[in-house]
Amino acid sequence: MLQIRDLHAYYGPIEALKGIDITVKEGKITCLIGSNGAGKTTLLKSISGMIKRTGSIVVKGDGEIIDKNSRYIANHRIIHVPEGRHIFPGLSVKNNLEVGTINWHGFFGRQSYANELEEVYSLFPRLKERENQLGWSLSGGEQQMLAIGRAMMAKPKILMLDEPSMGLAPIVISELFEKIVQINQQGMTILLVEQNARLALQVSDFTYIIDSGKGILSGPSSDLKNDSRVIEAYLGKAVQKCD
Amino acid sequence: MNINTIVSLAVNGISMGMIYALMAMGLILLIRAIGVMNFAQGDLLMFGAFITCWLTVDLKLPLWAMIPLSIVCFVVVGIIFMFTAYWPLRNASYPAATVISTMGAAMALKEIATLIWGSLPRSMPPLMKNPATGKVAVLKIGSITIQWQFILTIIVGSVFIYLVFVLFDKLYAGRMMQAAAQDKYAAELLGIPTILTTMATYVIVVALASTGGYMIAPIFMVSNTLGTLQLRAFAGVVIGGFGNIKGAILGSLLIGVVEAFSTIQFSQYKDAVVFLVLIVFLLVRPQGLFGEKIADKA
Amino acid sequence: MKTRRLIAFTMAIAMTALAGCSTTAPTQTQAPASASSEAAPQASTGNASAGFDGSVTFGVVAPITGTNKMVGEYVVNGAKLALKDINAAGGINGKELKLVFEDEVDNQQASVNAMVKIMNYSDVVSFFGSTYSANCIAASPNVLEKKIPMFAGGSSANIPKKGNPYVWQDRMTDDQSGVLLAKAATENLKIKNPAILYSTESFGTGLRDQTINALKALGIVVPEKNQYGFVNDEKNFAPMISQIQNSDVDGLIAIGNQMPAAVICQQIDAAGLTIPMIGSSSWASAVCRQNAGASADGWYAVADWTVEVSTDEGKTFAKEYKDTYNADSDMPAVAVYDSIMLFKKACEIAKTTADKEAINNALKEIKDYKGAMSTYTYSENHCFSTSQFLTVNKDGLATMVGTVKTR
Repeated sequence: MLQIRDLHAYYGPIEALKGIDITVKEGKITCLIGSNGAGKTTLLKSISGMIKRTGSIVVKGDGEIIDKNSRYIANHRIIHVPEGRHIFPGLSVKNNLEVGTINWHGFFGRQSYANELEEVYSLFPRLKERENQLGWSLSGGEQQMLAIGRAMMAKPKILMLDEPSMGLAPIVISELFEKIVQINQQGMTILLVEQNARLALQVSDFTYIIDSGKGILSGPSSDLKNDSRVIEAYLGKAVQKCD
Repeated sequence: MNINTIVSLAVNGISMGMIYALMAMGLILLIRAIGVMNFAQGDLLMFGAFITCWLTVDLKLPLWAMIPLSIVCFVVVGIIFMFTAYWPLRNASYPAATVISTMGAAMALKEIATLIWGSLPRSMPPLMKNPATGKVAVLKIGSITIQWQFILTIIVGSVFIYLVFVLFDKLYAGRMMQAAAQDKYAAELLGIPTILTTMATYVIVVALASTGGYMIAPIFMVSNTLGTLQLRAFAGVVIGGFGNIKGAILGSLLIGVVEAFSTIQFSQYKDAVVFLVLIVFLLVRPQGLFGEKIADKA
Repeated sequence: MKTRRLIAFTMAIAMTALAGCSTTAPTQTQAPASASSEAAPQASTGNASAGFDGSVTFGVVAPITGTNKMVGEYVVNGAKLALKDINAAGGINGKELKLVFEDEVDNQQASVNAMVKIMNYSDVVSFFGSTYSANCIAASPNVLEKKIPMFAGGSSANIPKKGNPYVWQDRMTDDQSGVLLAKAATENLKIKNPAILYSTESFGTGLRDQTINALKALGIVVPEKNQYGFVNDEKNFAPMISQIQNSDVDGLIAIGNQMPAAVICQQIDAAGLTIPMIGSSSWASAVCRQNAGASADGWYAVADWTVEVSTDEGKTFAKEYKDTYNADSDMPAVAVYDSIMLFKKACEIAKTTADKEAINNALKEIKDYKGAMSTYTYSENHCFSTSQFLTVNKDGLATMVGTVKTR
């Protein structure tokens, strides 16, 4: 679905990514893990067109997108759910979701998005309960669900999630990740960036590990889960092997 | 102190309040969308007054031609204003740079108006004339006389306020603009063209202020000192509670009425009374009438 | 959030700052101190034109650029007309009159700088100072230091109060105008219970005080509630007008500058107020009449000048101005014209064009000199004018009704 070759990304003069290769397979969950500052968010921003980058990013059906701007990329259904959620605080839940449709609805379009709204509500019933509440009044977990729901309204073909577990209580996290798996089972290609390595390895099909802007390790998640280097670096020495 | 005086003062106060409200709405929109406190707001009103005066008096255009043409002018002014006073500084490391540039824009607007139309004030014919006498039209209810111009200002002001609310609350495009204003990063990730939404915001702000200018031009005469009215709008914004459009409107109306009634005793201290009210609010209820509706993000 | 706090902070500062300065604080146009007019004076011997036995230089300060440049145009034109008339008649004591101009722009600092610059020219013997009283007062210490006679263009009664022996006024001072205003209101307009609408600038409050005192001397007391003050750049008079309309006053006396005068005329007309109305000289001014249009008709005014003047000297000046410049004259033009004529008269009396002290003393000898604007006689407070015109606006013109004399 998405092929990244030799990606370099820059914050001004600082090179944050130094030649990354990643393949995101269609219909699978690919995850990216690494310590703080490794460049995970930078990678997502490179794909969504928010920072300066060079290299090659090829999307199935669209071709090369390395030189496209963020609007083009969003319009081509590659949706980045940013870390920290960034829901619109002054808009209601319903309006937040509505805003997600801009890339196919257009400013003055007449199409109804009722179907898409229903789908999101069935995925996240809690959002329907809070339909008219303003964004800022939602709890952290609800905001994350809203952010993902909003991205779903954009009818993405690739859904990119940046640290969805951040700041959430464990029980909320497991509920959330159940939903993420559910979305994937419905056929969505997902690129998941996570600080929580264990979680990421559990739900994903493929994993890439990066550090200081370079790719270190990659492979099927089931293999990496049991790799001693991974366990030691990212899962903690005292932890037993995961299943 | 008879009923006629009270009604006249109230009508005058509310109609002036409407003008301040139009400016105040513009201020809030810019604060929310761009984080910029626009010190050129009053001069946008002044410039709008000059433009409409030019179209009506110099070019002698009838109303049906003047309105669309003035809208075109407002759009142009809005876009130029945005790209000169805001755009080049939007990523400046010094966050007050955009605010200071609006101060510069205020001076520039005054000078440009003087360059184009001269430094002399100009008068504009009243918006509503009594066809029989050729003088200003008045409404008589019993013993009470009210000038139609003030009523018209109240009506037009209300219509514009309503339109702004409809835009932002009901229209899809308005929701996009709000989203872009509340979180530009997320909006761009979803594909919202934030340059366009910002431009639209600026155009709306200019249109609001300029319409205010058009309404008061026949009453006040068009001169390049009209910009000082923005101080009342600022006071209205603060009294209403920062960042809240409804509050800004109510605060402005309150200021207009206070201003009118203060002339009963202190006509030369009108400004001082207005600011006294402002100070009292800041001391007693600093969050304004409606406080902050949007808390910081969780 | 940081932005919010920053905004609140900036607003607080801005409101204190902006509220402090009214818009009479002029625009910060950085005009150069010397304007585009006459060059610095040459030496008084050697460069005189043929037929003249040397030259004498008179300085003129005018608002050539800035928000008051309309007024400046009148001043410059009036001065040049005096130059032409004097030199056509043989100059002053046989010497050619030369003028040097400086631009006072529209703020006090520039104005005082202009006046000081003029005083520093070695050839300038006397000069016409600012048309604005505050500037004249500010420059007064410099005039005293340089011992150079200045004809002040302002009308404030505070100008002579400094007791500066070198400062002279050919315009009627506002305290006398107050007496004339009261006189005209009661005798000509038959007002018995007036409302007073006055500008809170110092000239306005001064004139109001004088008018009220003069009315009191005539047996009319004006209660506080019938006095309405307004700041100079006020535009919303409707609340005050409503109150005037609904009170029991039978006439209106208005005091202010030209722009508020125009706005007041317009808004009073819109409100349909029809009581007899008389204003200070701004109500007869061209700026007021042109901007207020038909709504200025019917207003009386006690004015320094009207184009429809009926005195011989006045008519001569008005016609000559009109023929030379193809435009109507206004007060600032005739004020400087008459000042230069008074200067000439003093030189003739003192029989010198170089001795500033002698010329200054000679001004004391001026008696019953018929100028265009008034008849001039020396008085101890250094104010020459003895009368003003009573005018009424009709069909857009300030027609003369008569003269109102103080002495």
